[in-house]
Amino acid sequence: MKRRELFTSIIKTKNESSNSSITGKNSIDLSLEAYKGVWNHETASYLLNRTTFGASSKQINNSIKSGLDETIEQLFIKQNPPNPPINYDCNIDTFVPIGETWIKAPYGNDAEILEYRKRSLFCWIMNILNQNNISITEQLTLFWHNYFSVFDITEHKSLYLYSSFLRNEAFGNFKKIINHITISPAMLEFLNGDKNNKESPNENYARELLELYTVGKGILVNEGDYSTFTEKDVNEIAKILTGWEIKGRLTTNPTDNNKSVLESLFIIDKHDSTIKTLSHRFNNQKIENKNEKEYAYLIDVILKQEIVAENICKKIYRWFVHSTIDSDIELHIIKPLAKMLYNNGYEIQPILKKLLSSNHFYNNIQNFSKIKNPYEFVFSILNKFQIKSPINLSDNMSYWHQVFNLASSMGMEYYVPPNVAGWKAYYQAPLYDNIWINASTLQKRKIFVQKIIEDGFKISDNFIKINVFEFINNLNKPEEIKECVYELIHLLFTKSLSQEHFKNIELLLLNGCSYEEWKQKIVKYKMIKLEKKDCDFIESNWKNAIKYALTIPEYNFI
Amino acid sequence: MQRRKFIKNTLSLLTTSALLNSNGIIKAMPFLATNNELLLQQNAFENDNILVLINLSGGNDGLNTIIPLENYDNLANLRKKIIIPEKRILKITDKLGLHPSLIGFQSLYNDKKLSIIHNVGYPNQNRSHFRSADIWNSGSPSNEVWSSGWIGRFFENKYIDYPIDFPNEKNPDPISISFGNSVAENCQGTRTNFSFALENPEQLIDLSEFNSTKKDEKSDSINFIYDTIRQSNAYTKVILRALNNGKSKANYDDKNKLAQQLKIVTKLISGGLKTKLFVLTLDGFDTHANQVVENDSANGIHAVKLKILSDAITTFQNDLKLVGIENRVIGITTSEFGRQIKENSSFGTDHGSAAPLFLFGNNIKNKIIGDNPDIKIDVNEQEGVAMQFDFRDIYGSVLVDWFDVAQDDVRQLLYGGFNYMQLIK
Repeated sequence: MKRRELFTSIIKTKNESSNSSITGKNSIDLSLEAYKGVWNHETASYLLNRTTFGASSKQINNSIKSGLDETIEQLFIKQNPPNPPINYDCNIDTFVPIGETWIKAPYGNDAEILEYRKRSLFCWIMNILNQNNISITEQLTLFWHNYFSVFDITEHKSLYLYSSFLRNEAFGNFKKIINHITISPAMLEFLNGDKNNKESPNENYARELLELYTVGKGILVNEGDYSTFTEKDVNEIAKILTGWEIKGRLTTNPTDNNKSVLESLFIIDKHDSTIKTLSHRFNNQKIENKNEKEYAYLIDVILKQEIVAENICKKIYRWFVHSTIDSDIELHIIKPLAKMLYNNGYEIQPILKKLLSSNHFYNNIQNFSKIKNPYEFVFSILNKFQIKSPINLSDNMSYWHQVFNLASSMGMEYYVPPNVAGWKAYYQAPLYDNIWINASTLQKRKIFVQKIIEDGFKISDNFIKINVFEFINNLNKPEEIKECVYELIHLLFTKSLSQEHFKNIELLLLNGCSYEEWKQKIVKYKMIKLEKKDCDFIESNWKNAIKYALTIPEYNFI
Repeated sequence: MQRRKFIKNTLSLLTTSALLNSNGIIKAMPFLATNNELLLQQNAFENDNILVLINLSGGNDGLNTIIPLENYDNLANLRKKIIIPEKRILKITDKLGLHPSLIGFQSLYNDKKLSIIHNVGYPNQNRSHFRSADIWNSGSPSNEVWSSGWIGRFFENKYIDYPIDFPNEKNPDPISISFGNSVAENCQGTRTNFSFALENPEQLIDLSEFNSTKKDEKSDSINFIYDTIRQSNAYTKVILRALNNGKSKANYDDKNKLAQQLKIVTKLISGGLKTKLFVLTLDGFDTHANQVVENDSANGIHAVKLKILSDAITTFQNDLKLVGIENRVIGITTSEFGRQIKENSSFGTDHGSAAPLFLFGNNIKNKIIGDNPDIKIDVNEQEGVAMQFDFRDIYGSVLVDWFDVAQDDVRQLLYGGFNYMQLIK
């Protein structure tokens, strides 16, 4: 081969086929058939850790007992909506006393009111992630937030409405979700739908509707023709979506009972009522004026393209299984799932259950195939060690504020994805979730571990951190060193660790004493007869062992 | 097969374009030097030149950044709400003026330290932020998806073994530094990324190293984290040392984050760090709405962003001179696309095509390259500025003159149609 061709062949190699680490050493099972293999600690912890934000030992054990089908059913039980966000710490909001919610309250003139509601929303979501039910709801809520990314929304009521809707529909119907989001106040603000009118259409939402949310952008085949849609479609769809406004945005005027309403409103005079014609990519479909019902009609037209279902399934796959989709996975996993989604009218729950119960999903356990995002990293630790957040409102705020900032510095900030396509880990080839790991973010992960084990998060006069003795009290056999190591590893890891890690953790726990001495100390401790010096010894050894487990590379995988 | 061995073996298989791995799956072959001369050059940079890349993320509105005065009336007609008032424009020639926020750039231009290249883009402009940013980062044609970065391929060519045994005696410093909490996509090679993510040097800490299990037995994913840990610790040491030894004498605005990052760059370079590339980002250029303030078009989001850019670079340039390293550094500003010629109804502009970019530094040669964008009395809806220069000609010419890469090699790293432009003294 000529040098030139060689070069070209190298750089042209498609990213989708280049990273085949998922195929690993064993050939991967490419079947969506229901998994009938053994159901044990590994499979249960794998399923739970990928669908929640970290499962406790008890939750994993319950799942082992109840089996795959029952665990799946449990994951999809509809949850009660969380209590709305409240005023934690601001005493100048005349409409909202501390401890009450602001979701229907007008704003005041003071900028601090905007500020505290922003803090409140962050604190609210952190508390929700910390609740740790066996439910797939919060993973999916974050998935949809990433899917329909919005940020820089100054109207917090609209952000609350947006987030609550996504939670409520987390495993509902895609058509319903996209219809709602298209005219939601948050999206109207974010992609300028509220500025889109017949005099001068703003194409911002129209473009992303096609490119990011539905048909996706194919290869450029002719000028302005991306094979799935054309520039003309962007233009025409912008017109179809004209006429929507946000009513009550940032209003300071109370209506009845000191309430204020935030909603989307259709203004007929701002709507372009001409006939719009889509390109050949949509069969030159003509769309006649339908006023406030036109957007829904348009979405029906777009969702008739099967590729929409494929794109949704790819995103779901990247989120729950693995970032790289090669041609085999596309053919054997994505296509059948997409077919199912399309044929059932875009119901999300059945395809998720299918995927999470499949041979393919469990066959993937052997590979380190998914890196924890910052919230999965942080909350898996908080949830697995059952660290309680402060009850006092201002302490609670102060705690979550610190945790939130640290997670942000690891590269993920709730309600502030870096751009309209969401977090890069879920779309940027070839790195994908490797993006979460670099010198800067690994250092932040370590700082978090150091804080939660040693230094604590300072709240008033207290320090919030792992309580080692509470942890020991919950162990089955804290006096047996081998059991200690085993239980710690089972709590934290899906796959078992190497012998070397086992040995290192044991060495850190024993710290020079013998198995027998360890046993005696724990027996004394249980009888509340252990001397302070020995208590400190046990505590500090356990801290070192936990710190080791949380900072080895393996803990970054899920 | 052990990783190290794999790479070594690969070197002897230069005539094969793809390799079957143990599973019979075709993997992307690492980009490798394709002749012996290139191999011998490994690690041997001929000079101590440094490149700074600043990405204006979101798509900078070129027509409100550098304003073509000869077409001002036409432009004003198409941009009734957002056009900069003529008297506020900073004139740099009879035909060309700068946005009023770019006072610093005006003085840099007068000092012959700033070049403007008009109408930079690529054929078949893609108006998606992500695809277009990918194209700029990878150097691919607009209808192809490449997974490696344009300068990542160049680094991979130079440092074939990376990250194995890096850092080493010859190469103790990061190859490139990317500011923020993620690595730079243009530094992506076929196996690994060549940039070190640096967020806040005051918070650098050591990571726990586990010099335990032989790495090769583990999975690639685990190896990736081991490598990152090892490099993080090694590079943290040299960065802290350089910061400690480095100097900075100019007054950077405390509130200007870009300026603060450039201050760190100055200190790192003057402190002896041999890092070849610094990648920085200034976001907020996606000005669909409120690009300008109603009835005050010289102010608004765009004005704020341009001021941050101009102030930061101007102070940086001044600092480089004060600490005596002015001749070693050049910089380029880039953006994924320009914006449409016609304004929209929201005091903003939508995604467009070509846009001007800036080169800065004491060693920059030309001042204004290319022609003023031709603005007709009326333009089509959605029309963008037509492309005159391919960005790969600019990247390639910088590789040639700043990093001593042969033009033929640039044709392979970037594209066959490469046209050399003399941009550097």
